[in-house]
Amino acid sequence: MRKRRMTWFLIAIALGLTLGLVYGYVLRPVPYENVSMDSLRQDFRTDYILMVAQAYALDHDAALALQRLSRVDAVPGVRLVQETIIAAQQMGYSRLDIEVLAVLMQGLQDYVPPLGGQP
Amino acid sequence: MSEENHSPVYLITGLLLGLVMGLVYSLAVAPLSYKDTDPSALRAEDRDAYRSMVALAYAADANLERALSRLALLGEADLRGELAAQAQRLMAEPGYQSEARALAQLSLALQTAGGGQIPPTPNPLATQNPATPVATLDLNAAVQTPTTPPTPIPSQTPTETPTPLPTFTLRPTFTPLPTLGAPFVLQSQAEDCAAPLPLIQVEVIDADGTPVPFIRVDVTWDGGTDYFLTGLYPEQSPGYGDYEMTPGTVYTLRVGESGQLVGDLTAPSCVDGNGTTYWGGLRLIFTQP
Repeated sequence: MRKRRMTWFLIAIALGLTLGLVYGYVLRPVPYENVSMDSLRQDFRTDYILMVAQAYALDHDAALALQRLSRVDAVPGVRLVQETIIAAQQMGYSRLDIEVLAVLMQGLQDYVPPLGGQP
Repeated sequence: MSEENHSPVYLITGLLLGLVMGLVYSLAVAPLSYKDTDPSALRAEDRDAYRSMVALAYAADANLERALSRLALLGEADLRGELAAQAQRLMAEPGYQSEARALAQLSLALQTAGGGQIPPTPNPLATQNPATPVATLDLNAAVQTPTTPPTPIPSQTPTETPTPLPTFTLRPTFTPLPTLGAPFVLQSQAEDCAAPLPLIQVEVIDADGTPVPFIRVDVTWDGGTDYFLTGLYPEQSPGYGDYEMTPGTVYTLRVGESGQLVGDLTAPSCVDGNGTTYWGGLRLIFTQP
């Protein structure tokens, strides 16, 4: 009798667990909004980073560009731009766009952050 | 007999225990997170950052079509209004003047081009590639680890429209904007009883007689300060800006950083044809000597 009760007890827990998961993941999930920049799909990320590069072409402010890049990914800025150049080439971005990204990468490579700054 | 009496209790206890475990896990420990989202899902702070980048990119390449398609990804109905509002906000923050100017410039360009109202297809890329999980909210696809690989969508820029970026090198300035020249001085001031609201209406004109957009106009009164920009209503004039007065309050106004202070501005009392009084506006024209 005790064994049977234990079985039903575990079944009840499993049922409750299922209901809780269904509620949290299906009935009332985290809304599809208020998402951060780092969750953007690859092609949108690529375009955002291209915009950062275009802005860099205007102001030549590497620190500001790094700050803008950090919204998208925590990896070092140079690596992020390198990856973006590759992605942009695969996606068929124009040569001019690739060059803009290359200028940003060059600028980040030459950038010497102040003491305590992030490379 | 005793066990029969307790059986519903232990079942309910087990159910509640499982429910709590499920809720804690799904809402706190490992809540649903989204990957591979599109810009329309961004939180407000990141939307602002995205919008700023679109404006700065437009300042760099002057490609309005591209800027418009990028802004459309945010899925906002009033693009121009959002740009103008963000420009106004950033104008008040030190260090963001160039972004504010770029936003205002893009807003003006949209207005001039007749854009700014986007039809209700927020994601033009989704129409190019309906297989991507972006166009519609598919929770299953969005949960934790999406199975959809990054979509090899070509550039948002149509390749058939070459970007008119002359070079990727130096572009010292992107706008023929104002002017650290002579300060703006008041040329004329008049009451405007035809104004629909008690507005301070300012028109800023440079020494050549050209209306000047994106000039900051500071407004102060007893106990408060505010500001507005010219150029956000190009249908009136590129050099036009306005500010709604509170009747009975006396305002002082300055155009630009070192412009002439103009005080004792208050909403005039006007009378219509039926003898009804109402609050009118003021119209001020500032020029550079």
